[in-house]
Amino acid sequence: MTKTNTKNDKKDLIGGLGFYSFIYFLAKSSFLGMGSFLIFQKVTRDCYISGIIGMLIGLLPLCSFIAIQNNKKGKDIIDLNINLFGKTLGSIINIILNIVVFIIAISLFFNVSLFANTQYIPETTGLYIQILIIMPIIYALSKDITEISRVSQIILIINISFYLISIFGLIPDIEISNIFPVLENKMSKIMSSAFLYTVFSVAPIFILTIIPKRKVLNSTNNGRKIMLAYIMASLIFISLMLITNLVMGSNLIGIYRYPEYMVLKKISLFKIIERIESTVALQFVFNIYISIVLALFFIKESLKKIIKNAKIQKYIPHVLCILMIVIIKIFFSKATFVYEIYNSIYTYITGFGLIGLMMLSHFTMYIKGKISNKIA
Amino acid sequence: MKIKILILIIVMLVVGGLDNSRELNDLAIVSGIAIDVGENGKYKVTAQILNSKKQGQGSSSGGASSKSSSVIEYRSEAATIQLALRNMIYESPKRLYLGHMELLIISEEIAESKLKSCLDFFVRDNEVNKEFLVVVARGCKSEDIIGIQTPLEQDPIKNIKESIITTSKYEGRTAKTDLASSLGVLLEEGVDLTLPSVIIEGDTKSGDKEENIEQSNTPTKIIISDLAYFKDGYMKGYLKSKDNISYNMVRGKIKSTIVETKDKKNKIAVEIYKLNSNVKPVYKDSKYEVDININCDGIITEFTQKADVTSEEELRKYEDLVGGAIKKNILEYVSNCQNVYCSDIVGYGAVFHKFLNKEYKKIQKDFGTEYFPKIKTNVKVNVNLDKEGGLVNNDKNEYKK
Repeated sequence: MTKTNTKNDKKDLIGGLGFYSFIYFLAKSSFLGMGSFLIFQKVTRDCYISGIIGMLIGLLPLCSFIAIQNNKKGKDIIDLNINLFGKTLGSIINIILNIVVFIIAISLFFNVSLFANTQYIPETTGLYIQILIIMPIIYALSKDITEISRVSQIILIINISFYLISIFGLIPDIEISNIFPVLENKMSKIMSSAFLYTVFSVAPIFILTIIPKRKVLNSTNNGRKIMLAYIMASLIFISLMLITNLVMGSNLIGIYRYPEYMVLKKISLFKIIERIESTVALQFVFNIYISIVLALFFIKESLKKIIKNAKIQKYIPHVLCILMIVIIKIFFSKATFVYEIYNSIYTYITGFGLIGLMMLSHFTMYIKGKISNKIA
Repeated sequence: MKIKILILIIVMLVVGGLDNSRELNDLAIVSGIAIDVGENGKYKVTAQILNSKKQGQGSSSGGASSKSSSVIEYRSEAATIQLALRNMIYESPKRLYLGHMELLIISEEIAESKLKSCLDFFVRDNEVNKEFLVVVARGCKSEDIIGIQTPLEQDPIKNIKESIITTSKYEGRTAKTDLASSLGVLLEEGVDLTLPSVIIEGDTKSGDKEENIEQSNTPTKIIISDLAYFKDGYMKGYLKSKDNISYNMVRGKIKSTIVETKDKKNKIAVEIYKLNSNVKPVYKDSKYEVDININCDGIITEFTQKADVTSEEELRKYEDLVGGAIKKNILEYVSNCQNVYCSDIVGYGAVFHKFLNKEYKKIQKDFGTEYFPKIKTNVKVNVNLDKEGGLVNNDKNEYKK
């Protein structure tokens, strides 16, 4: 009887690989059209240097993530904030967090629908595409996080396979001289791109603070594994930026909207397998898909704490998805307006709104922990 | 359950409503486009479309439609290329599809005055395949080239494309320049563009008739010509014969070529089958220089007189001879770039920009006018003729006595 219970308990837990695959996807979520686009525009051929510096800077907020994830009370971020800051202030922080996460979800959703619209099916109305993409998202959200994690694991394997195909397929087209001159841009520009990288790759990871540690299988000493997953995702992110630059050159990556997709058109495996860019580019779409699901899961779980009625809880994903489409329809009508947002306030919103507030929670938790230790 | 059914209905409606669905039969697949300057500076666009009816039949089939051409041409004129292509819909029952385009032929007039604006449409449009080759029509209209009937390929566009690829692969006289790479060069600092060119040999008017391919020696032919060179995005002329190969040698893009040289009594042909090139800028004693190092492997393929290549010493002598010939050609080519063509197709500016960036920034403004023509070039060629070829011991080859 006890054994069966343990088995059932394990079924309700997220497998280790599932949780780390979430980190992998979230860290790479903004690669397509957002993070890489802005970095390419700012520092062109020095993109990989910015990426490496950004990855190292990102380890600092990642420590906060690990600390929050491993909080002694085993609470998720929503309960933890209430516990740390009291009901009023905690609720305000939670509302801000939810708004920021929703902004991330909307941006990712708009980005993937725009990508499909411009590169795959330009004559189709954006709304059609959005409805099409939203279907699997709603379906995934109707399931529990353990089921989402299983999907994520499968997608991780597909994603890494596509990544390897991209790299091996592009190796013959590499022009090493495209890397020169190294450090062509001013250090200030490289550093600002590095911070941009940090925000784009680390901020979404904080979405996972909604999953309490007790829900993850074998979560003891998970700090090192989280770091490894983040570094692995970052290295893939950076290597894709680097190879895009090496193949296309700094001039071409500066003019295309999706250079990371355009470069895939050059893939040629054994001179037989060619024109597979649409298939291989699915790795970016999968990244975004899992990330949107997780972002909306964050909001769904937060709202569940307020809305206790199980019948209404069921419809939260539907409402959120419809709201996303409506907001995109109203505010994201012009692509140029969106790029301006990405270029300016989006970074600050995600940087301060997510990383900043999470670090604040971590700091408060640390101080309170110290004080209670002293009292004890 | 009701919600699931509702979702399914929505999915069915949405998927069915994708506006981009186009049947293969509804597409007019464009294999190549020729652009000339028309009246009032408009673009005169000629599109060559594959005749799907004919292509599907194969060459052996008969019937009424077997007399129809395997390709169809549509012509239109407008101020923009996009509109000119769209206007072809008045003639064509199908909308033009540029996803499988293989070649863009531009006239000299376009190359000389508005290449960048001409390429803009092809770069922006998502449907266009960016891997097609760009070619200049030398001394003729590009619309004439597109119509010439060729014996080995039913599709003249494919014929030109294959000729360029073959010439580039086995002779190194031309360059395989596609849209993406030519755009990259146009945008890059310190290097000028080159494009392959084609000429019509024979009577242009009879070239597009079926009789042209009925004779074993076709009266009207399309021939791959010298590379067209540009300065700041505008075509200025064509490279001299030997410079075409030297251009590709310096870029390290030669896969195979023949080097011809001679000693006191013998003419020698060497086939180069492997070549590596390294161009390095040097800043020494306030002087700018460029070192070009070329390593190549070759094989002696022909002597006009009896020759001895049995000893190592003799072989080295021929290596030096071939190396000297290559060096002479490269120095002549660089000198022509500096003084005759006045175009940095050799890419010295880019080399300085990449590898001596700090020094280059100081002279960036005046590099093209003041520094480039005076840069000294040091060429070092290392030829390796280790393969013996078909004849091992030439002493026994008495037939050349």
